[in-house]
Amino acid sequence: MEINDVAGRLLLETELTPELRQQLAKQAQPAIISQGKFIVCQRCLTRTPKLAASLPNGQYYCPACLLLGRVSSANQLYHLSEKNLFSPLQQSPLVWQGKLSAFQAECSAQLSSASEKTGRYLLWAVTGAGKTEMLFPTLEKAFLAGKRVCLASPRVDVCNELYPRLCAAFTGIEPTLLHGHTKQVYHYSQLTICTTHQLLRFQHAFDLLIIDEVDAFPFRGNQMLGQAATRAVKPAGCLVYLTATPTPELLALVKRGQLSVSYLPLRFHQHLLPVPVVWLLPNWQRDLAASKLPLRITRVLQKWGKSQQPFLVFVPSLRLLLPVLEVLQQLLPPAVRGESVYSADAQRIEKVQALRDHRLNYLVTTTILERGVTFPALNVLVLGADHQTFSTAALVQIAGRVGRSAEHPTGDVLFICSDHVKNVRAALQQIQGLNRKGEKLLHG
Amino acid sequence: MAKCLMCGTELVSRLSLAWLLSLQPLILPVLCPQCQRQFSPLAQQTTCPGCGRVQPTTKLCQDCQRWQKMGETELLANQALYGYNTAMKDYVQRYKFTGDYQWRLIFQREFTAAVQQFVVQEWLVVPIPVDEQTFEVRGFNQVLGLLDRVSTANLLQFKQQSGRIKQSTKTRKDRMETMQPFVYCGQQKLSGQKILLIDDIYTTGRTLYHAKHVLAKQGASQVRSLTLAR
Ligand SMILES: [Zn+2]
Ligand SMILES: [Zn+2]
Ligand SMILES: [Zn+2]
Repeated sequence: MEINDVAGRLLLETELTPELRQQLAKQAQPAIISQGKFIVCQRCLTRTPKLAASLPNGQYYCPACLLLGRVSSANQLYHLSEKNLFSPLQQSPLVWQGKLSAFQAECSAQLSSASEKTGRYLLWAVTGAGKTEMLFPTLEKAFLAGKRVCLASPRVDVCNELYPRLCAAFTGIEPTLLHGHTKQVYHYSQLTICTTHQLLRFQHAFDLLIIDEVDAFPFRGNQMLGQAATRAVKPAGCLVYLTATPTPELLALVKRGQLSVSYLPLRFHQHLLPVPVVWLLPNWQRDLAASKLPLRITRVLQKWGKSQQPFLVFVPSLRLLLPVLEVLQQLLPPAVRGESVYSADAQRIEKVQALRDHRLNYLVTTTILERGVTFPALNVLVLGADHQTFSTAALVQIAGRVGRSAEHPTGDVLFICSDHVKNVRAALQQIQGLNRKGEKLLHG
Repeated sequence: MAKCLMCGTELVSRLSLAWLLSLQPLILPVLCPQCQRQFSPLAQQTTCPGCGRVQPTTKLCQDCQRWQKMGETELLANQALYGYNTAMKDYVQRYKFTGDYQWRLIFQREFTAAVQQFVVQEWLVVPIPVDEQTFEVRGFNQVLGLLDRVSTANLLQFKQQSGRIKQSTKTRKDRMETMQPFVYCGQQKLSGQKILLIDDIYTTGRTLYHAKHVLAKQGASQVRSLTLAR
């Protein structure tokens, strides 16, 4: 560990080597401060009532950021200001050979100039717009200017997917990848790729912080992580939110003029988003209880099964996974193979890979696969789309799994409902609204 | 609205009319049913009479037979509330090792109630101590955290030893060979007192038997144990 590893960071003494601890002793700040009946954790800025934070040995601890290692009043936090001590680049580090579409390039240029300014910015690009590639020119410019950049996401799998793509697109940058499950050791780099939780270990570090999938769990609505993101950026830096499904809170900021926004309503292959077909079948759950599904659904599933193309069946709750899987196994020929998958499933990654490799034909899943996964030529069925577990954003994301590849830009999205509800209607409106914007881009 | 201590989902309290009329105290759940289900309670299960582990018969398990061969004529007759499954392992990791003291509340009511059963029959409750250094870092004794207003007697203390290795970092064989770590620190002899030792987990039983020996030497008439998990 070197002294630069502390630049822009906020670390506990246990996260430093003894030598650095000694060297930086003057920088140490108490990790917990007391405010009347509350304590305030200086790492995550969460206020906790003393009653809930006190320990029998007379200390206090912060329950809020415990998963990054416990902070207690016996601890100190260490910070060194970020000085951007990177060796200047002689030439562009961007080695990516691809080309942006005219619409992508336009949006990318907007982002580039926005990222030069202090403040916050929203890039609203539809599912499958090719967001990552659109970032490349912005990142290139930032690296050449000697800036420190972070790409963060609430989701570990997004980080894991971004890391190799950025390593391949840029040479000589050697990004650092940080999350709870990586064995990589932190190193001081111009590009950090990390989960939003890791931002709790940074302070005024980045000239540019881009948060991908900003509406995803656990970042969405999480005050602690929101504050951490703001603090991780330098006071004069820029914070960019990236999403296909902005939260109502973000949209409200846009409406009030407090957040500038760029839209990219077209996918990279310039086809419109698949519009979900909604079927009102109030009896699907009763049928399921009798180990069957309504005939109309059965016919569609059999057609999908025959086509050899992968499909996903979303269910609103964990306990429906097995009953639905069993019914599907009954009504499809044995050669059409499926599995169920959920968030705590130890074999989740293997099963998703099996679907990609065509060793499986379908997965019955909870909302866990609503985003972050792409399969070419996919079809999707949502059972109980009117159920409250499917938020508007979740439904837009689910529909967005379909038609992702240029070879198969279309596909079926079928929502089964017992009732007409706001979520489903709002999802349809949002998709149709984006398609109208896309239409306008295409045909003027 | 209260939230599940483990997963944060909101807890729906079922305040039925029957309850309102019953004048029973309101017992608020701390876990949601999904999280609760992950644990495996041993109350209705067949267990080893020596150590409290789940098994098909009520005969002494091999480990307990080995204790007998090693000269333990009276076994601890350990009572454990839960099996040591993945959920319990994760719980112990978070509560004890990460040090999330709030999580004591997850089993506090149940553990306290089980201990009270002994207290009313005049058993003296003796917790297994944690050493000073661990107490300073962790901030609490994990066993005492599981008790709510139960008086205990701190009769055991770690011998002053430098470089003691933590129990959890030793292999089974190492653990078995550990020398007596405790000394008696009570004020007087225990003439005829029944003692209930309490600890978070019964793993090999080594620690608890060491504790038992110290207390038996001081005149305890009977020493049993109760643990959260086995
Ligand atoms: Zn904290
Ligand atoms: Zn829960
Ligand atoms: Zn036994």
